[in-house]
Amino acid sequence: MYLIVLLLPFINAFFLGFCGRLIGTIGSGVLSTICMGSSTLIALLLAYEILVNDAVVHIELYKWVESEILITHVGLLYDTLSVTMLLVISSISTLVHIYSTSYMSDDPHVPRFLCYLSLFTFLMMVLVTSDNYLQLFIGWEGVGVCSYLLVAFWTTRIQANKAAIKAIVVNRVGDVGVILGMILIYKTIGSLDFSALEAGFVKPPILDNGARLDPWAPWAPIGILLLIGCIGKSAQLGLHTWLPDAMEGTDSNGSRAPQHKWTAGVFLMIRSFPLFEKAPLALLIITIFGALTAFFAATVGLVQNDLKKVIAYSTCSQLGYMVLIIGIEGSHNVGLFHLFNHAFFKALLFLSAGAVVHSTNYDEQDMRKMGGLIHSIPFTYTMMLIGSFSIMGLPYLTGFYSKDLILELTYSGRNMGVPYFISEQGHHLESLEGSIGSQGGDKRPWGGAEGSGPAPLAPPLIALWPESEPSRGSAFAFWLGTFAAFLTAFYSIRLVYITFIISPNSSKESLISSHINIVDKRVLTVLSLLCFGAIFFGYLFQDILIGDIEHPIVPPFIKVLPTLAGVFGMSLSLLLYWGFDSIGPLFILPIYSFLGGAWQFNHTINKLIAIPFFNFGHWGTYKTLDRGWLELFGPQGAGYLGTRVSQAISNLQSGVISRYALVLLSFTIIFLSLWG
Amino acid sequence: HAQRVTRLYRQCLRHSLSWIIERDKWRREAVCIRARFDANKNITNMTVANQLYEEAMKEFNLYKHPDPYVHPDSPGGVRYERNIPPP
Repeated sequence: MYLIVLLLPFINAFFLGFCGRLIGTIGSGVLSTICMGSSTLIALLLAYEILVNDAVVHIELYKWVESEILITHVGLLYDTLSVTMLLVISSISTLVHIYSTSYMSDDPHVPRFLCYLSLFTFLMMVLVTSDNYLQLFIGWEGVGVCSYLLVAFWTTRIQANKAAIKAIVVNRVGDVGVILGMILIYKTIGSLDFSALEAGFVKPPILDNGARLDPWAPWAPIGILLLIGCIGKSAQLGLHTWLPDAMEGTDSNGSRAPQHKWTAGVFLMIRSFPLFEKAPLALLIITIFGALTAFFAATVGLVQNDLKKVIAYSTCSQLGYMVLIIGIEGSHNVGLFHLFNHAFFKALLFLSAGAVVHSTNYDEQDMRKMGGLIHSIPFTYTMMLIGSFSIMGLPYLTGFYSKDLILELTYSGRNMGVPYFISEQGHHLESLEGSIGSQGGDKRPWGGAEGSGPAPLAPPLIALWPESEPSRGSAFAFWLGTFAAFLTAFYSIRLVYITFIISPNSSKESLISSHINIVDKRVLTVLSLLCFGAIFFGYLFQDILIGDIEHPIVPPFIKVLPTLAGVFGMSLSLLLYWGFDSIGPLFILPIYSFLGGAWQFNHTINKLIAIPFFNFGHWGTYKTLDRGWLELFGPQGAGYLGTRVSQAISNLQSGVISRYALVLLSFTIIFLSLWG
Repeated sequence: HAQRVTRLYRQCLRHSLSWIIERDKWRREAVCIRARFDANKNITNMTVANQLYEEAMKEFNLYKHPDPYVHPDSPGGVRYERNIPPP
């Protein structure tokens, strides 16, 4: 059972990849539905065993690397985190497979598409069920490759190919962080197993033999490196540029699958949480990055006109929330809960968007050419509205349970403080707060005058973590997160309003087409199931996933603020788009351009990083080094030199006596002058 | 000159439609744009005409949409070059 849940998607991918053409589109659809559906049922059984019965299953399959410096194995770990992810991946993937059989029925390459989807699902499952970092990295890279294949599915489309290359190259930057983080982890605790990670922190980091106690090393660098990996994979601010372009290549269903890849970064952070707990600096950076991402993506989503790009930036914003809450001590399970909830209402939004696109005449994705679709596709409208309300966090829908809790926990944010130390004798030592980052070593918690040189032999120290007050970091994150909630409501309702409610702006053929194209039963079923999840799963699963989280006590105004922000955003959006018909004041134009260009990150990265690196790669390493110096001093240069020298020497044999006499005379004079 | 003015007029209409999504509201703006072009349609002095054209281009560049609408099957559209048959 534990292996079959992984192998079924792989078998499906293998078979479709090699024999998909033989069984055709319908056969591929049937096979995919059977395999993925079975995998989901097994995942449900596992969920009952692990989540409900509170069990943990660890299976060591076989030894993988057995060398002097590294011993690791292939194993499967089924705990709350991995089974929750497994449930999300298998269920959403199954629904996407079923949806694709309808949505892409006109495409000639459906078996290949379903093969890529299944392979992606398999590798994602490998990632979440791995019990060590090396195996996780296999899945990590694999989902990147599968994402490339899915984004570039329409290989004839230049934009899709460019987007795929961009995605894999930007992800690679994050992968470097993960690799370096893994190396540091291995150097620190001697193993890459997750069990060793937890065991390694039974005792806090105590240095011996007089080495200065440095609470930052190495946990903070490891945390920051893993965060870089998360930034790349989960499209956080800085390495997010591939995300909107990834919407270029595929249909909505194909966009949905890479979303699992986006959650891989969040999964890595949650899995590495024993490590992050001991690195308050890393936690602070994580919270700030998450808040900034949530805010940034929400501002950009405000001005997008492509249906899928609005939802893509919305996903980026919600990933920011997940990362944000991971930075708050003891709240990483809330990040997992939000990931779980988000999977369902975001899938609902994406697949509903696909249904909208499919109902129009030209697969129109620009909202400006929609409008009035509430009359032609009312079911899809309802699904989209429910998904939007859920993402806004309106009370008692799925999104409410996680999103509000995130903001409340952020408001009462803990662990933004710095550790203090006591010796084994129980002497309380000063906090290192003043000495961190200072020059010249001011405060020495274990005594010694300022500037008195290296610390004396330090007594054994025990690091404790203070009961901290809500810090500036958590306040910053809270207000950004709340403002992002307001913006989320704004662009969600803007999307629904422009697409469905305003008067039709499309061509006559498109309108007729939307009336004629009846939504397929498979699409109806999938959307209905997701709708159920978007409404009820938050309530149903909160006890299982976050039952141990205590809701913080916050002022009543703070408690209702996220909901008020959502309602205000919704109202403002309706007011602006219904009540005003002019372009607006002139100063809005540069703001609109700035936001529409995603804060000009693409332009900036191109100018400052991409083009200089390309130029260096071409003129520096290629022309000057490879084709220049290395060839000159290498085999080619040696051959060329030999040829030229031998030619020059042979030219000396000119056959002219006077030249021979001249050479003879010259050397005689030189010889006599030197040794004469 | 007529061709470039016509093209500018067409671009003004397209970009204004990208801004003002609803067609009934856009119609008002389209009529205003047409009126502004018609007000200068009888000018025969090329110097004046060129100057008016330059000013109009400046104003267009100021107001143009950063993300104008592109038809899905046109270059830059979402369905462009999708599943094209092999040569």
